Amino acid sequence: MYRHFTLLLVAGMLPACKLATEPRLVSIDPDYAYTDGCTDVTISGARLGTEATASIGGNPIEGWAAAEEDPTRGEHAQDVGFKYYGVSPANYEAGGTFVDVDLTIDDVTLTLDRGFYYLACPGDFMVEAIGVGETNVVGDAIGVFGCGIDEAEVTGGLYSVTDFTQVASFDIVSDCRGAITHFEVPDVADGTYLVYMTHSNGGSGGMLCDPSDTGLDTATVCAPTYITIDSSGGAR
Amino acid sequence: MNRMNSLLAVALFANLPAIAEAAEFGDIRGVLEDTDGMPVPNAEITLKGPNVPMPRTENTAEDGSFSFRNLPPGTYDVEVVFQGKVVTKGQVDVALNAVTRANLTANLNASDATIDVFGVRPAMDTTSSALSTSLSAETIQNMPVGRTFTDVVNTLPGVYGRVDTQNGGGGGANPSVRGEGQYGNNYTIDGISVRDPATNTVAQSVNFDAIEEVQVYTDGAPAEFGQFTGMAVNVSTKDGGNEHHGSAAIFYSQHAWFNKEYDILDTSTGEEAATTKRRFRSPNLALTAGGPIIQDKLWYFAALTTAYDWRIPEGGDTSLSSFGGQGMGKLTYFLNDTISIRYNFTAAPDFFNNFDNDPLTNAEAQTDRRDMAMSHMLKVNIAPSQDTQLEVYGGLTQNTINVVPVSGDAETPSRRDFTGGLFDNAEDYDFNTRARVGGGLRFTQFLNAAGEHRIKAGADAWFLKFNRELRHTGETEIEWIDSDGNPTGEQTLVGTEYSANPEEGYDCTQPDGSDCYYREHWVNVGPLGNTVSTYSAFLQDDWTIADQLTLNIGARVDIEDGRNDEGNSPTTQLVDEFTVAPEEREVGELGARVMPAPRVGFSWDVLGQGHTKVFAHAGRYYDLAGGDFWEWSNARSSAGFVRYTRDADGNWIWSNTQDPEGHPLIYAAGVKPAHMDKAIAGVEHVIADEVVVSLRGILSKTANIPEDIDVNLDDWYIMNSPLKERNYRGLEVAFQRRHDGNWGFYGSYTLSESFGHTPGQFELASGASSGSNGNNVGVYLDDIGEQADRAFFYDVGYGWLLEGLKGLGRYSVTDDTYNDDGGFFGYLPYHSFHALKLNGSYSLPFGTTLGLVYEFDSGHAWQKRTLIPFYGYDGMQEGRGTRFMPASHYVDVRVAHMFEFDEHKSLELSLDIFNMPGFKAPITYFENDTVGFGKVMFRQSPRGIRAGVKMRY
Repeated sequence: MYRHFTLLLVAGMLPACKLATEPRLVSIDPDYAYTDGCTDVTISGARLGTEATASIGGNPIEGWAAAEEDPTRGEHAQDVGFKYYGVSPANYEAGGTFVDVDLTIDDVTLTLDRGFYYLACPGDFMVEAIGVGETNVVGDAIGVFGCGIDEAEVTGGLYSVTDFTQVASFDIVSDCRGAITHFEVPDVADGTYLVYMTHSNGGSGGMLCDPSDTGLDTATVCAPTYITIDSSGGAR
Repeated sequence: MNRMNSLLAVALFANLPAIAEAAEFGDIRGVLEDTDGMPVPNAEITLKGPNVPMPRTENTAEDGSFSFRNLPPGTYDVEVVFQGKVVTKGQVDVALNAVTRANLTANLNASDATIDVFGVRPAMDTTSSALSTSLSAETIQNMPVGRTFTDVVNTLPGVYGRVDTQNGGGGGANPSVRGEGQYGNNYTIDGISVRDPATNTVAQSVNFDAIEEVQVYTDGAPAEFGQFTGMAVNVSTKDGGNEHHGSAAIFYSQHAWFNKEYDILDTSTGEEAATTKRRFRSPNLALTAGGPIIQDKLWYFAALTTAYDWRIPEGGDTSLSSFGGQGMGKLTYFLNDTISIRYNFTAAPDFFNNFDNDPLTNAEAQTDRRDMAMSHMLKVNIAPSQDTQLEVYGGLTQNTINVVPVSGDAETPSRRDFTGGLFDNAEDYDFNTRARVGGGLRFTQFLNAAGEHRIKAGADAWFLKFNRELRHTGETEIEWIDSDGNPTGEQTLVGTEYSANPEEGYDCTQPDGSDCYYREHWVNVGPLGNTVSTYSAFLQDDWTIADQLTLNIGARVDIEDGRNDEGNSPTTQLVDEFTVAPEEREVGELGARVMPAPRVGFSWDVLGQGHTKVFAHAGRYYDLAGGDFWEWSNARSSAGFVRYTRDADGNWIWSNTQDPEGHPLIYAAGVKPAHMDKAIAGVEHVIADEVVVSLRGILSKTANIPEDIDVNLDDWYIMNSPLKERNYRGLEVAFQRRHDGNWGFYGSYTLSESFGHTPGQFELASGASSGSNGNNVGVYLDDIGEQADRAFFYDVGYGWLLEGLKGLGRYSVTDDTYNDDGGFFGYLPYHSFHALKLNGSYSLPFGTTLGLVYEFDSGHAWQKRTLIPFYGYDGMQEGRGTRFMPASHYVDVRVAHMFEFDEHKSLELSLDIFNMPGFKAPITYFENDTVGFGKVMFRQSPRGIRAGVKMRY
């Protein structure tokens, strides 16, 4: 008789004790970006499979790809912290607001409710970083990163560090909307120059120092960006 | 196991016995039949044992049934006489809080020479729906385990203690069980809780050779047991008896046998590197003695353990040492057949030399710790019949921890104290005192009314006083200094010293952006403390409706009330008033927390033969909040969050954080400790030779977990977060055979998972020291769930801060749809997907005993936090991120040979080898973060040996 009870007991318990199999969406890192998007994001969760799709604020995440599974993680590869990588899409209407992050797997949609914040670009454009090397040669592509760096509206130039006059100009080329751009080093003599950019509306890029501002030495309010041109290739 | 670890864990967290009482008795129930299976009425059954002064005699009923109740655990000689003739005799084991079924066969026609001698052990308790394991002295003495009761507990199914499942590394003295953390258990020795109510850790151990029985409720404990959400461990020590017995033993333990290095993470470089294993050496002396002072009237039992430990921490080169011991004395006076009085005394001094080797302080300086724990307990047992028993008890305990520097001065500060402060000179100290006084009563009554009832009721009250006095003399006002060491003229907080020397402090940045380094000093905060009163009451009825069915019905209520050092109950506010100006909020009083915990279960002896039972149990379990909970009414912690303000004369003075001017932590109205709801069901069956096979399932959910929630930057509440919970589900099969003097065995396989909120829960705080264990109360900002506040962070360029701290889950008061369960997600550290344990011992006929402990842990992953790079290895060595424990095996063996001179005199030589194969599996590495991926943080404890000589008389 007890055998029947045992069987019943086991049958009753197994579903309850089955290890969790439902997918879980845990986080998106980072959880904010400029409205231009273009920020590399990582979505992590558990048991997400490798065929999921995702969106931020209703717009598909770009460059979406599942992380390669690490064989050393064995059976737990999908259990904890399984990752997808992608790039945040643009959403100019969402500046200053939170939007949902949705991940769809096998027709099931998981949501991080208002899990992503779109930062409105302060001002016409904002340059957060310029990827100059220690030395550069004419024609080098110099990355310019920030927001609102519209290639149709923003132009730049190299300026003398002694009298702050413009020596050459360059065009901005967009690599990912107004967030990731670059310019090519114009044909100028070897030397060190100040980099400056302006918007057609007249605004400057936030951190850049206006060469016309004779107070360049007040470096606490702007960060002068210098570029050194060395046609010999320098020490690169 | 490394005793130093245990000692440190025990002593660090101070000891303060006495919370809840627990059963110290067991019962025998059986039927006497003749060889034809017919009941034998009116037979006289006499029981003698070392733990009862006088023989007990009962007559069998008309149906042959008999019972002995309220017996101390141990082995009893039983003789059955029918019509003036011995018809059978033998021995019966009694386990703590369990019923031993002894169905005896009387050979009515036999002569003395042909009587069968029986041996009965408590194989299965058909009256209990709990998952309880009783381990006898023979069982634990013959297994290769560390000589502490917590090491013994680690061998049980559902218990994880060999590794620190929370932080990684070797396990300490605080195992975790069934998805609950290391701080959720309650421990009683001789019926008195020895859990530190401030830290919820084991506060006091006992001489291993003094242990009579260890009983562990992992699940379904009756209402008598409370104030825990993990397990209840109930240790019973030996009594004196009417014969003089004792033991003397010397053991020597050593780690790092053979190879001395392995690769683990070097936190200074972020790379794995050859690292010196943790090493220790420890000689240990253990003495016990017991016997009659007056035959049948007054017994004594005493035990003493002393140990010297020398160790070098993993990767270190500074030796640390400690010397300590535990002494206990027990006097039992039998006033008459009805009343007995017992007095217990314990003392446990521990001295730690150079116990901390913080690299920030100079290598020459030292800090010592001198601890002393003492307790007195008096208990009166009144048993007018074996069906009625009243126990009245009271006690007083006091524990002190004194941390003092033995070198160093203001120029060369000494060691960091255990709460994170730096001592400056030999006049500084950190002196903790915890005293507790209280008592209670427990009443047991057996009744025959619509079946048989075993009714237990009890109540107790304990009053705890924490006191702490810090003296730090480095209280000068410090100014910023430039890279040349010249003051910049800018003022900083008092008590913090800045230096241009990177060797002298942590990284910081001066207002002008230049690097600096700092270390903290505290002013003399003077004595501070709080008072916690706990009251509890329970009623339990184990009601055997019919021979085959027993209901276990019970309820208990615990009440906890805390006061700050000014005698006031902490003030409370309504969380949803956080948007209101502080002066306009409704202020209440925290008052006493009332925690009702009902429990119900059944046990069905399916065939009525005590061989098969089906059982189920469901109940609620409340843990106490403990000292930490209330200490927040003094300060955010006792030291780390002390605030300073200037008085009218411009002098810096200390003020606690209930000061409304200083972003205080606020008690939310109605906040109470966490509770766990647990349900279990299973079936047990006795197969051949007293081996019990058990299949059971366990489900539990712990909710209402208190946490500090920073709803915005200014308002931090201690509240029962709706986001935080823990879940456990497991399926388990176990085989057990109680040791019969020859062999015993316990094997189990557990399939389980524990998931819920990541560590960080308030109730797990250790010593209320911010940041310890990565598992503590702290203001992590990531709780901020108000969208406007989060948007503010992003807009001003501090989104990276919220990002870096993400992991606990945001909580919005105004919009619960914005709550983030990201922090809730995750496997918790306190489990293993697959765990296999095989433990046992076998004695060969010529006196040699072989013991084995094998443990397989399939490994598990858990979410701790995310984004390790935010902190970097220098700032937070433990890091945050997903941890992973690959599979690990432990194989411990024991070989012992006993030279037996007579029934009581023997000499035993033993050799225990722990982790005999020298496995060095990683028992924590970072899994999927960008910095530490795949880096091994800790490995298994190295192979260790223990050699011993023990003499018994």
